[in-house]
Amino acid sequence: MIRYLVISIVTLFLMTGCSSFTREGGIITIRGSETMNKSIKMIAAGFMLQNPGYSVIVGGGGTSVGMKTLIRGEADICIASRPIEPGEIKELVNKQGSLGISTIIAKDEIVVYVNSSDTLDGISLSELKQIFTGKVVEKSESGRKLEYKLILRSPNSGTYSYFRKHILENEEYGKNSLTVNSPNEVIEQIVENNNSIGLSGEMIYGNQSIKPLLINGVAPGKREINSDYPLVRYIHFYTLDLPEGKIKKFLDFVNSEPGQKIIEQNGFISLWGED
Amino acid sequence: MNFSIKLFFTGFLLLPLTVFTQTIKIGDGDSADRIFKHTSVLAADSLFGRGTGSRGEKIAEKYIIDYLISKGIPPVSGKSWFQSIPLQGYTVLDNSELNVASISEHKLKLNSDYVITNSGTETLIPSYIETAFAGYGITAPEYDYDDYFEIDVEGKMVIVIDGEPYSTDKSYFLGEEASVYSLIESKLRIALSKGAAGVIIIPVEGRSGGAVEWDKIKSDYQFEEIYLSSRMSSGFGAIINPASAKVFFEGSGVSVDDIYSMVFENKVRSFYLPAKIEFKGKFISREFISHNIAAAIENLNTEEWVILTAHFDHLGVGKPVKGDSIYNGLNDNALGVAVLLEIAAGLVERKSSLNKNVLILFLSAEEKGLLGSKYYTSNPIIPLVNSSFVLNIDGVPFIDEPGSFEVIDGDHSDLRAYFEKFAKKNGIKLDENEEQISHKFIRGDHYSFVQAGIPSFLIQEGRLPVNKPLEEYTWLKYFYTSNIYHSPFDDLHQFINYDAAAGFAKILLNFILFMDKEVDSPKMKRESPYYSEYLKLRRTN
Repeated sequence: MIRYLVISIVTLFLMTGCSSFTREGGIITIRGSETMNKSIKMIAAGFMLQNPGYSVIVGGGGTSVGMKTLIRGEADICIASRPIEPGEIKELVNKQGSLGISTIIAKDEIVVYVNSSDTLDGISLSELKQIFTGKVVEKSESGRKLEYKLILRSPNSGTYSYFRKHILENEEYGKNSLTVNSPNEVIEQIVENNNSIGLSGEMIYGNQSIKPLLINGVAPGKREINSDYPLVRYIHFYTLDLPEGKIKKFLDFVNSEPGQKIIEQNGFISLWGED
Repeated sequence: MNFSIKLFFTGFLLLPLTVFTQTIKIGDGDSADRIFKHTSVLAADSLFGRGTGSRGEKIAEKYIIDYLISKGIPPVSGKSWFQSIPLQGYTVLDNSELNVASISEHKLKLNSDYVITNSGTETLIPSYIETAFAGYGITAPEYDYDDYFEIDVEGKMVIVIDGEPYSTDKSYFLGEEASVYSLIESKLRIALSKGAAGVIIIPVEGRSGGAVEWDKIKSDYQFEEIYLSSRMSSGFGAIINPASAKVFFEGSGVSVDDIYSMVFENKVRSFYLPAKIEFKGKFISREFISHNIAAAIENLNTEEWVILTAHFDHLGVGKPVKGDSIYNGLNDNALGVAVLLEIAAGLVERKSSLNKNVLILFLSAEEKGLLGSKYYTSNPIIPLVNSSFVLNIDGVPFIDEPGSFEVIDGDHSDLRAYFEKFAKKNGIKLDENEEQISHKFIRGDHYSFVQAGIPSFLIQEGRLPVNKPLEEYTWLKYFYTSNIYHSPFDDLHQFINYDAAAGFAKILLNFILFMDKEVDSPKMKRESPYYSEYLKLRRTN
């Protein structure tokens, strides 16, 4: 009996003692872009190392899924590889009383990949649109008819939505397509299918089975902030309010030198160099 | 208007332009000389109008810091001179396409038919969407008013009329004074909240139906749009030339003249339009860093800070007017910066007798939407709760020594009362205006601080001069606002009364010293919509 009493008192003491140690911290939940998933997980790891009181939970699912979780109040941050849509803004207002705040954290290039056995080196933007809307493109210089199996990301993906709106001008993707979930699966399919074409939000080095196409004569991968490469988009953090507290702390880390270094190492374009 | 005044105005119009084409320094006095010297540098053509993120702005930064150093005024302890502000800029290109399909297809031209008020990739509308006319584009439940009551605009482009419902009743949309609902940004946000793709605004000139000054609107929107890296979700925004607006109403049975009649007869209503619209904007975008500059006169015995601000950016280089493309911004706000440098020098001489700390803040990107001050209040160098009050300097007397002063936005707090007490003590006359929480000058940096819950205000010259006849003084102020403000003519060729500016600097310095002796800090008033922010600051600290 006395032993249990002592144990209870000690436990109570420890609990009281623990609660008197106030430490800055919290949980940050992030959902959204599969394109950015790996980078954000690495940034989160770096952030948690520097700030042990914080836990950052990173999930993917695609930009649309991220927006839905933000709308439902289940995520602090939606990572988006496309801007928020008007219908999503309306839902955010109705459910959370917020128009949403966008913070740009990086740029990325949408790279168009084909199998390395393909003799095609580059296409124009208009040819790209034709190919991805399922039309046959005839190259006048070679007489070759370009007709591909499209390897698409899921409709929840920001890459899917962004490309459809900005390049296909809201036309439907061609029917000869295969839909996969992750950027890695897009690459796997292109490796396995000689006559396939797909998009990735990152430049992949060291894979001899795929090659990126020049678009309008410009090669991706230079990652210059003022690049001429025509398929460049912003990566956004969407939050309900102007970042403050734990979210601002995380965002400041993303924009810090270590955070931006991770972004660059993963093939994205860092934004805030000094003039 | 009586004959003598007509004669005066006629004479004035015939007056050789030499008055406005010489660099004139009037008056003696060291202070006036110093202010003249500062403005001669800051408003020189070599700084190309100090556009945000430009080389000219960087030169201005260096000039300001060099002067502060020469006066022994350092940055805040442990901090840099610079507060880096990440910014994003968009310049819309002429080959952007705004196409309207109604009875026929119309390709509208940038600048001649429309201007963009909101830039970026969010504005893309790659295929035709439906449109609707939504009155003023206002939902204001406090006034029992909703232009969206009978229409669903989700996925549509909303065409709205400029302004808000008119009334002389001050309790209805602030009466004859414009409320926040008149702002383009308000209309855009309300439209977005309804799921609209964006807003196109048809401008209106006053209540008399006068011709809209399209050249003025074009001039206002000719510059690069700049945003903070964090900004509210956005969509397409444009102002349409009234002469081109008819394309939206083709086939609707309603003309643009009918819309104006609705406005003037208070019979505005909303309805769907048969027209469809698409927008494929072409932009040059850039990401860059601009700076606020912060210096401090510190007193280690207190945590309380007085903040003095002046924005040092202006519009930069734009479309030429009479061959001049440099928008020098002498009055707006090189003169304000000069006055703040003068005040800073006066305060540092009195450092040992000051009871409070002073933060001297030169703000960037004011012309782009108060971005420097907005960034500061989200990333304060000094904790906001320790900020006693903010005095912003933007609009310095330059025509004549002011015989009276006007307090701007001093009614969100008891700052007006403090200034009145100071004015009475020093024989300074204030314009008689009613105390009210207004939106008179929400385009001033002090307003960012008001919105953050910090007592903040602006002092400007009032209605009365000391030396000039009232009619001439009034006419010169009107002339400046109509012809010089935000034009390339706000430059060193103007007539500037540097003694008036120096006198103003002295009054503000004396006010700051007066406030330094006050034991109690100014407080926000309950009536202010930002009182909750004031309380929140104090609750969380």
